[in-house]
Parts: sequence; C-alpha cells; structure tokens
Amino acid sequence: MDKLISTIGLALLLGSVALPGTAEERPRSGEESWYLFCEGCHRPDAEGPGAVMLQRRYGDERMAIKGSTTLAPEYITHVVRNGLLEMAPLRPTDITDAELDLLIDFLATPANPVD
Amino acid sequence: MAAVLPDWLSPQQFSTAIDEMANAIGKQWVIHDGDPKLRSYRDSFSTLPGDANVPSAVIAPDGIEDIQAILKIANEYRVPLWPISTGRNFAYGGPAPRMPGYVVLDLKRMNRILEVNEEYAYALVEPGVSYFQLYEYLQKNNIKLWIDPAAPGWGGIVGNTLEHGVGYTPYGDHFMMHCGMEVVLPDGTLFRTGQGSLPETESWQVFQYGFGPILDGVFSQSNFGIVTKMGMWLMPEPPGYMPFLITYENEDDLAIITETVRPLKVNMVIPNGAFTVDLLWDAAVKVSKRQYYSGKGPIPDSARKKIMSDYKLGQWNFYAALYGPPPMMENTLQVIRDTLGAIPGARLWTAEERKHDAAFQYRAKLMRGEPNMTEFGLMNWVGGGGHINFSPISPTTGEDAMRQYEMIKKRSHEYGFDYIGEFAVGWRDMHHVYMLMFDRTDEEERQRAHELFGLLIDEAAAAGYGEYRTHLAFMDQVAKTYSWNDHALWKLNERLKDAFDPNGILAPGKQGIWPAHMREKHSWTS
Repeated sequence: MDKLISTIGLALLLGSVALPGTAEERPRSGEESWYLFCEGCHRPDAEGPGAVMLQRRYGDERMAIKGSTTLAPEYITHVVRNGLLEMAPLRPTDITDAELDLLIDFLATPANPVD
Repeated sequence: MAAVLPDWLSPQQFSTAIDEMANAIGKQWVIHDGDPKLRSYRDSFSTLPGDANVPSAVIAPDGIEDIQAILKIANEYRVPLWPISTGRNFAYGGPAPRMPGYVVLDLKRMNRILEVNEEYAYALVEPGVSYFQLYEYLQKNNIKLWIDPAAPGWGGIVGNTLEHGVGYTPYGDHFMMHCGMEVVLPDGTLFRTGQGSLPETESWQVFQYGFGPILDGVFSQSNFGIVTKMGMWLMPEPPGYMPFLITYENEDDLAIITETVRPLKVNMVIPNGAFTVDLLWDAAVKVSKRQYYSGKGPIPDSARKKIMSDYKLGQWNFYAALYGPPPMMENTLQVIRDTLGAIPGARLWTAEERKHDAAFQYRAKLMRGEPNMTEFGLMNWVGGGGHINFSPISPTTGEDAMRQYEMIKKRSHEYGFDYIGEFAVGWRDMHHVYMLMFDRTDEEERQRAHELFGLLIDEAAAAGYGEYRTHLAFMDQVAKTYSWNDHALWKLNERLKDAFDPNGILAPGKQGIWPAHMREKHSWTS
C-alpha cells in the first residue's frame, strides 16, 4: 500500500508537466524511418508479419531485412515506392527520397546483436 | 500515361489549377503528370482492379495558409480534393480517392504534436501524427500517459478518430475521447469547436461541448470540412495491468459468451474493448492456410480442430484486460472467473502462460496502448494482400451475434472464402468485423470477393444491421441502407453539403454524399 501511495504521489508531483509541441527534424534519420514505417512488420521475430512471411518463403537467413547483405538499394527503393503484395507502398510524404537513402544505409548496417 | 480527369475539367484547366497550387505551396510538394509516385496513393488491398481510383495529382500542404490557398484555387476551377491524414485507412480504401482523377490533399506533412498535458491527460495533434509517433514522443519524454492505437500502429490519430475507429484500452471509442477540433471549411473559413472558440481559453481540450450546437460530429465521416487540429484524451498509466484470454471450445458458445459479456461491459466491470475473436483471426497471425489445407474454398473443420489443438486456441477466443491496483484487479478477475470462466469448456490464460504467443502478445500490447503491426499478419493467411472489412453494428446479444455469424459465415463459405471475424463490445453496442481475405493476384477471386461484399450489405440491412464504416467502393450502397423516412438523413446531408461546400470540391461522394453538380449522375437519394 505504501508503494501505491507513493506511486500516486509521484504521479501528482509530475502532473504539472505540459510540454509545448515540437516540430520534427527533417530529414529523418534512417533509424527513425525504420521505427515509424518498417520495424512493425519487419522486426525479425514471430510478431513481425513481414519477417514471418519472408522466413516462410525464403528461410531463416532471409527473415531479417535489417542487416541483410542481399538486398540491393535499387530493389529496396522499388519495393518501398511500389509496395509488394501484402506490403503497401510508402508515399513521398511518409519518406522523402533523401530519407529513403538514409533508410537504405541504415538497413545495410548490421543488426545490433542484442536484438 | 495521361491521368484520368474529372469529366468537367479540361486538361488545360486542370494543368493551370495544378500549376497555381504548386506556385502557392512549392512545386516539390505537388505530384502529377503521370509521376510513378502517384501509384503509391492507390488502394493496394481492395476488391477493385489494381489501377482503380488512382488520383490525377497529389498536393501536400504544410499548414493552414497552404490549405486555404489550395482551397481558393480548387473553388475557382472546381477541382475535387480528397483529404487524407496518414492514408492508412486500409480495408476501407487506404489513401485512394472515391473516384479516379481527384486530387489527393495529403496532410501527412502536418504532423506536429502541438501539446501534451500530463496533468489533464491529453494531446493536441495535427492530422499527420501517427500512433507510433505519439507513442515514441511520450516514451522519450517519460510521460506516463497511454495512447489508444488502432491495430496497425502506423495509422493516424486524427484520421482514425474521424472514421469512428475503435481501439483496445478503456479509451477505445476514439471519437468519444476526442476533445476539440480546428477545422477549415471549403471556403477557407477557419474555426475551432467547443471551448476553442473562446480566445483566452485553457479549456479547449478538457471540455467537449462549448456553447451552442456541438458541431464536431459533422466533420467526422463527412466531406464538409478539413480537420487541421484535434485534441485527444489520453489514459493515465494505471498502477497495474492484467491482460487475459479465455478460450472456448464450441462455435455456438458465441451466444453465451456475448450474453455474459453484456452486463460485464454495461456495468464497466470489464473496462476496455472486449473482443471475441474467431479461431482463424487468431491463428492467421501464426500460420498460413496452406500449412493446414492445400485445397480450394474454406478450410475444413478437421483442419480447424488441428489448429485449435496445435496452438491451444478456441473456436472463440475472448480477450480483455483489467487495470488498477493489484488487489482491485484480483477481485475483478474472480468475477470474470465466475462468469465468463464458468462457461463449460472455458479456459482462462494469463500473460505468463501465453508469453510466447504472438497473437496474445500483440493484443496485450494494444490493450496497454503500445502500437504494433502484428495484426497485419492476417494477410499472410492466403497471401496476395487482398482484404476488405465488413463491419455491421448490433446490440450486444447472443441472438444477434449468432445470427450475424451464421449469416456471414454461410455466404462466405458459399463464395469460397474463410470466415475470419471478431466481435468487439465497446459499451452497449457490438461491432462485428468480418475480414474478407482474398488473393488479389487472382482476378476471378477478386471479383468474387467484390460480389460477396455487396450481397452482405443488403442482407445485413434487411436483417436490421448497418455498417459503421465501409470501403470507398461500397459507400453509396451502405448509405442507401440508412433509408428511414425516405432517406431523410442523407437528404439532409446533401443540404449540409450544399451549404458548406457550394462548389462541391471536397471529397465528392465520401460516405455517399455527393455535391449538387455531381448529384444527377451519382446520387441515389432523388
């Protein structure tokens, strides 16, 4: 119960926080675009439907697109801009051409082993 | 390839209008003239042919002044504009306009999180803000507030709310939880609803009603104005959280589950959106159909039994969650055990018992406001990406649930498709969502899905069930079913349309509401 009261107390103390809005920095980093548009489907585990589909079609070694050495930049650009079957295309207001280049660089860097 | 244009616009008029818009906001934010990027604004998943509903151009403003400049030009040339926020209204049309040739007004660049107030637990956002974006902002700033995302987290807060979307936390009725709008009318008039009209107010996001008529609803699922800011109430992080799943063995258990859920929801014992999910909706996140069945048509009962056994799932799978101090949750859980858990064959599962189950995990995340994309895995069931949602509403009764289930399953099987569905109980109502999955690469199958969908609308309406939302291709047909007193409501919608938008430039045909100059050709009300 003490812990509960202190939790509520802390919440009240913090309660006055009212943050002003922030404008996003553009171009976005590759990592940020990955989080906003890719990771949801391509996280390399059972909760990533894109990763699951790639695993079913091409095996474990092709499941992850983050850190993949087999994806050509031109291919990534084509799939991102045109979509592919279950994947809807991303639009220029989602990711600009410059941001897509940053994303492609980010995808080419090896995945964090902790992931 | 030359763009399809609205039939009242000459190529020269269209080109002049687009040039003027480009001059007003910057040509880098205008896409037209056969640019292949236009194709990213089609609906990738619908029952319509691949190139249906491709816009003639896209224009992406970054603020009120841009929007007002675009509207002025659109009024002058009568250019039809189709506003989208994040354009993720998939299963209902995605970013695509109602008709080919419209100009998409893409508001995604307007993605500012204008304010987050932790004390009063709300956010004020622009239309381009996605669930992922707001969630990340709250996490990075260590703000102890939860969002209520739609199942796919890349969707937008404003767009989903305006489409009457539902979520999974106790704040799951999104429109109910919005507070205050800023709107631009087709003639450029800018105003704020509720307390937002008081110049010195601090109450815009804490009181919904203001003074005088409540206009917010007029700008949801409509084509009367462009919502440029919206307040959204956020749920304070509770001191405890307990998601659970109850599996049921028999198909006709749906009746008693629904009867048991009703008092638990009406009395707010279950505080969040309560979902009764059929076997395949849950299984499709984990397995593909061809892993169990290689034939044509719906998966046979023998394969369903095997899936149930392999993944410890029920014919029906009930998901909900409890929130609050642990002693309160434990007490409420006992009520759940004594009611939903006492139905013969029921088994209650905890988060610990399903920690390696992707379907449980994504729902547990949604019920605590953590956006994800795992439900997109449903599309892996047959592959090819085709899906469209049929979403009739009913009271929360066992009789209605069984009647809808049997009606839709029978037609679905007759047309060769699996029944994949869920029943969501928000408070008193039930949203039944049937996800019609089909292989878009198979032309015959796509057309068969389209035909089935049209049939379901009319059969449901004849039984007294109307859809709460629908795909672009079926907006007129659904609107037509809301026909009480000789379509009086839609005739009123047309009068409002004429008053708000006399030139008929904003989203013509959205929700079956056509402007005067297109009414003769398209409208079904006269």
